[in-house]
Amino acid sequence: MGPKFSIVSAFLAVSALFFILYVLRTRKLRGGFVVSWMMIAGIMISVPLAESFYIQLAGFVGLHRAIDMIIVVAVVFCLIYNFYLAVNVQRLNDQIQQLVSLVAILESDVEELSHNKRGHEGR
Amino acid sequence: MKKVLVSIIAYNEERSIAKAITDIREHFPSADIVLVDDCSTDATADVARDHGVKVIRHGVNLGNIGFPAVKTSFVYAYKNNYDVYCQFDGDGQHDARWLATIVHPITANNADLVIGSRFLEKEGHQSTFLRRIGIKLFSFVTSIVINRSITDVTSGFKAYNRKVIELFGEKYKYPIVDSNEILIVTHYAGGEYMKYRWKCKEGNMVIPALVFFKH
Repeated sequence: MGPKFSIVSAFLAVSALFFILYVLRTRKLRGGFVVSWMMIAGIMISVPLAESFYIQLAGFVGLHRAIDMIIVVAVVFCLIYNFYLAVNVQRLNDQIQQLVSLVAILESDVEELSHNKRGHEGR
Repeated sequence: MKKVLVSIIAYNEERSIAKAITDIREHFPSADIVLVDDCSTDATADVARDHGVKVIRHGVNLGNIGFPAVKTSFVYAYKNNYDVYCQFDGDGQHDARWLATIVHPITANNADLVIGSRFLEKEGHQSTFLRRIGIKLFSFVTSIVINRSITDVTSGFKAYNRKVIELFGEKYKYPIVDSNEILIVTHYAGGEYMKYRWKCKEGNMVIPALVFFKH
């Protein structure tokens, strides 16, 4: 990688890290999501700083170029992250359905109690 | 005397809901009726309230052809200690005359779950061709899994006993996605089935023949 690319990628990585810290401070993202995005920012920063390591790693797994390995890692990461999000979305969907049911039953009970109370007071 | 709940599942059925309620009251007066409204945008809930029926209305439409409403019905039946829960559609498709028939094996302890099947005999309203193919495919797969012959797994006309009510109203914490899930989960929980023939209403034509057998 040339020095220009190293500078650009380092700049992008540091910007991403600052953005993630801002999102963390404003509590727009919490918990596991923040950890995973900080890991991504960490990897982005490490690419220009530890270029030789990635070249060696690419050779170790049989890839000719370090960029190929980064792409493979990025694709695998996207697949895993997608799956993680799908599991979470499904869990939240189940919880929402449960809550909607319970709230609907409670609302109808309250409506019935109010109706009975009005009837009782009317006597 | 067993406590019976008939839960009408409805979404935008203001035109047919009054008739469904009247039919149930006429043919099965001892049952409690509740309407589970999946956040209708018309006057379904209001019509039901005007007829003196308790309404449980979802705050948002959960869709999935009414199965979330079936789950809500199970939770309500469990919390209010019902012995029998009958699932009844609010679109006027089901005939309230057969309610007592599908409830009887439950109260006689001959079955945990009774399905009113539309397809034991090829008579009456048989649904569209593509839908019948889909129903047959689902029924075939379910039949293999539970090792029982089920011809109409998607029938919305069912009766459940207290065991099944407790299973889906309390123990089974997941949403119900489709009819297969109810049958398969009940099967693996040790449920016993009984299947009835009944006729689906189409327009004003009602065919009164009824035969039943136990599996």
